[in-house]
Amino acid sequence: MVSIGVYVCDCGTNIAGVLDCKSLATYASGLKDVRVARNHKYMCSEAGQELIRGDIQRNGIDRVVVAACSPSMHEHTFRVLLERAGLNPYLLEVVNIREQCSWVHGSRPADATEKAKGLIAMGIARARLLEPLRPLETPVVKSALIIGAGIAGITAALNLANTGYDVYLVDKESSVGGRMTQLDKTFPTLDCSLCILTPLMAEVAANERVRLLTLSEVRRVEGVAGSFDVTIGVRPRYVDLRKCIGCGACSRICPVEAPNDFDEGLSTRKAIYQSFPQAVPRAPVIDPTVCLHFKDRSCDLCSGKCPTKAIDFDQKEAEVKAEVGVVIVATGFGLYRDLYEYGLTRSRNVITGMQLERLVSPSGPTVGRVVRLSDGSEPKTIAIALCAGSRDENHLKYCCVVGCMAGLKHAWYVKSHNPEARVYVLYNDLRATGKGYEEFYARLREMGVIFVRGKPDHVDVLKDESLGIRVFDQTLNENLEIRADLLVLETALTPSDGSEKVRETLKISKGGDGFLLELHPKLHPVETYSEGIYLAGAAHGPKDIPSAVAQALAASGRAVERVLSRESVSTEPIIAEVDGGRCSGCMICLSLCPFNALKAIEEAGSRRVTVEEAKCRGCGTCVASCPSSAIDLRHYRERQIAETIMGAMA
Amino acid sequence: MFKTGFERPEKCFQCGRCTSSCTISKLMGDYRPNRIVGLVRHGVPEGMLDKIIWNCARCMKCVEYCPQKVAPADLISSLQHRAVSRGSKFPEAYGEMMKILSETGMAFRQVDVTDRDFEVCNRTSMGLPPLTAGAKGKFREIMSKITAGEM
Amino acid sequence: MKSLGTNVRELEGWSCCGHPLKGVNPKLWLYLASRNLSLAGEGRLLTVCNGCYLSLKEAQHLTRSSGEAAEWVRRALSIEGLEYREPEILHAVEFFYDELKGREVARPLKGLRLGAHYGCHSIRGSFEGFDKATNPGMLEDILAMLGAEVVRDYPGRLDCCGATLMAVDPDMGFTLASSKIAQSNEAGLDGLVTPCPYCYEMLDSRQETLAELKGTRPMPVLLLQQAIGLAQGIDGRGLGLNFNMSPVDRILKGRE
Repeated sequence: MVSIGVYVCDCGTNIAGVLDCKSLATYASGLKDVRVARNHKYMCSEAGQELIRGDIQRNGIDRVVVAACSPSMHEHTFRVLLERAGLNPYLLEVVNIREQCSWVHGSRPADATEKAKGLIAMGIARARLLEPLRPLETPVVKSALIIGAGIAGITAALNLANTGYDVYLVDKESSVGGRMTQLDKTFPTLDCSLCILTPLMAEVAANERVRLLTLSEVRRVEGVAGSFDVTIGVRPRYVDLRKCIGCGACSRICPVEAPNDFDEGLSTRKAIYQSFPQAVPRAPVIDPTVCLHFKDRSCDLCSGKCPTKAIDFDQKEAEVKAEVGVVIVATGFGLYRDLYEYGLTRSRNVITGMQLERLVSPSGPTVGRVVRLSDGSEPKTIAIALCAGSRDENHLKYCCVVGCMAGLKHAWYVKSHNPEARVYVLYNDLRATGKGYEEFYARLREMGVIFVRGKPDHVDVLKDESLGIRVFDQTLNENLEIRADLLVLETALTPSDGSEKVRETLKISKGGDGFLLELHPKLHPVETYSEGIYLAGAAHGPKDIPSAVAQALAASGRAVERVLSRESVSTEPIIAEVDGGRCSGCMICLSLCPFNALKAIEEAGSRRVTVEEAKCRGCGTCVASCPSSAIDLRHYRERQIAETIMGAMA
Repeated sequence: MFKTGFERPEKCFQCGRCTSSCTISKLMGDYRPNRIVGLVRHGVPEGMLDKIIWNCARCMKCVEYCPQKVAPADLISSLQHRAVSRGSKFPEAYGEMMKILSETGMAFRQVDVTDRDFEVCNRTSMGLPPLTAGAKGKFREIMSKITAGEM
Repeated sequence: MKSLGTNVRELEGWSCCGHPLKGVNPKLWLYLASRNLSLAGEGRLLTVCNGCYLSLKEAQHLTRSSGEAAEWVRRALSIEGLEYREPEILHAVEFFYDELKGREVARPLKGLRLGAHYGCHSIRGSFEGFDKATNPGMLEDILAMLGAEVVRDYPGRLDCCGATLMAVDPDMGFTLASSKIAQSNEAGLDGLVTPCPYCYEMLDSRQETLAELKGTRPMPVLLLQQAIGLAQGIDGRGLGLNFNMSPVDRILKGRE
């Protein structure tokens, strides 16, 4: 025998503007086990909540049904209310008559009200069978895993380490630093990128609380917030970090050359190489796919030359296992290159913005000189095309966020390099929204850069690999024909190469644009749908450096507030439960569990399955698969679901 | 009348790429597809555009390169049709074509051709079988009904 | 076709595809195009004209995406006792690409520097084409299979020949055709190959007019089928080379 209280919310006019809420309350009051049924303008307000509290404390209500907005809005609010009123918070059922009724059936109020009655009947049917549940407490491990050691990952790592937590900082490259290491300067201050980054790189390597794992990838993550079991694969460097003094003799003598990804394909590097001079760790790495020693043992020149005997061809891949309380994903961005129509791959004088960064960099392939790659000459007419591949339904639909500012920076590079050069910036819109950005735009105009509002046609490649660019300039109202010596493309940004694998390992979601998905775009920009896993930097979406840093600080802050600062973390008790008596030990469920939360055990001579509560995420796959109906999901039991459906047909 | 093109003028953000790539704009500075789309969005009286829309070469570059899949060429086609429906003048050649079409089922009449050696040739003289195209019976009726706007 | 051993027959009772009339009377276009599709049934329909390819592809796309259009088409066709059908619409380029793949040709076009002129409607339009519109390569692949030295990219490769403009402003049409020929000359081509008869008419048949009006230097222009035929060793007259007004004898000379 239960006593149900039903509360129908008007939600201002959101619900009451379509549904007849008074009649819904009246209808509910006529159903079995319903002791009170009320209607209020704003159920989530103090006054509304007071109604419920009063009924629990004075009218013996022991099951609460709230018919209002989506549970994702206020289920938590009402759960807290129940708890404070002395009732178990899981004795609450929220019926969605707003997003799933009044908001979608606005043109049919009478039918919508009938539907709402059905939904409330279903809610009441379930409420009759709800059981009190206690949340699970997972003891918190006071350490963090950060995947990706670019500016976001490094910022988060130092923030957590300096707060007193241990950090595993993992990156798949041979050095930390990420994309900022490839840039020459950063907008709008034109700070030398490496100059502001290297102190942080050094700190992260020296910090006692940070365990730096380069050439590493996360292979497996199991568990829940507060206690994740992590397996990290560490690829061999073939160089002993403790012995290497970074003299570079090995690279100099190495006979093998391979394309240099750090220079975006504009130069080569050796089989044993350091990706850039300020790399951290400083030691080089051997690429076994091109190294002759690994091919047929025909060469060991480098190990011969090494003054400290640091080369070790026998190094093997290692596995590091760790237990952490939180994970922060900071895997960064990749660059889009399918831009044939702009001339990329048809002329050597069409380059990407990142390639220009490498040309301008003093450690790049042309030692800082901006030249045409076809003949080494200095370009006199340079065009910079923004939105190459962005905001384009034929390529990527979203805005790359930083292309406009990067384009301005690149215009600054070439114009200050050669003030006599004619520099065009071809833009669609010019987005200069951050601090100091508008000023930077003005500065570029003052330098005499010509801004053309127009998106160019298919680019022609002329005889000497110069470019014939046709563009309609909306500001002049004229079709322009620009013969450019050099064309720089501000290319679209994509999630980085390794991010999809990380996403699948962690089982977190991505949005329609491929970037990792936040819990709520406005109010929860650094959390994911999985508690204990946070996002920082461009992995979440293209952004500039200050935003990446801010987001990294936010993610680490959230990680501390939600998990690391606590002794234990509550997780919802909506998990699977095995009825040992019915389990036949067929193991079908075990093979299907995506979270490895089921375990086989021997008991009284027979095999059966138990649930590792700390790992279970309550997805219900095992429940659906069990042929003996031996597994059930707490709070969504098969019987509760069945009765809810029957409630609809009453 | 259902939509026969794939135009989406509401998506246009005036990047101007259609005009950058336009075959005709290169030769006629006044012919600008981005302006035509813009004017339609502003809701100007279509009569304004009645003359210029016939200059479109139907090269479809604007359709291909538009980053928002606006398909200006399809919009221009629709404007052409609306102009004709209003009784506006259209290029004579199309009128001629419709006439030939109703008689033969083809857009051009079969004519004798003089080759490089000054020989006058046609299908028969070259030993080729006659074409199976034609405009007879019900087909002819339907065509004239559609042309008259009765279907 | 015989030399390739393919079995192709003329579509019985075909009509104009309606392409040139789309602006003036789109319903007429839709009807004519759909009628041809209906006559073709569920088999493979080969088009040898870019305009027809675009017309039929777009008509099929329209009826698939618009319930109203499909309804109207069905009614119009039913008067003649015809039913709406969805044949596979093939363009000559993709057809010949498949036929020639992996084959040895009898008399390869050795030493000929050829370029491709796709013509607008084989690659651009509101449909899923047989090749990537911003970077097509199938026609160049065919020319390579025929043994020619292929120029895969040159300024203006994907430009319009101006054929449609003959109905509206012939002088502009000539300007465009002339520009195409000039760009082919600039690229150092020995010949230009196009799959579209409309383009062929602009670029080949009108070369004398182009030379007179625009001072264009002549450039041999071949229809795709002519190029394939030559590579198969078929006699010039059999390919209709006597109708070409561009200096195709330059190409034939080297092959005697």
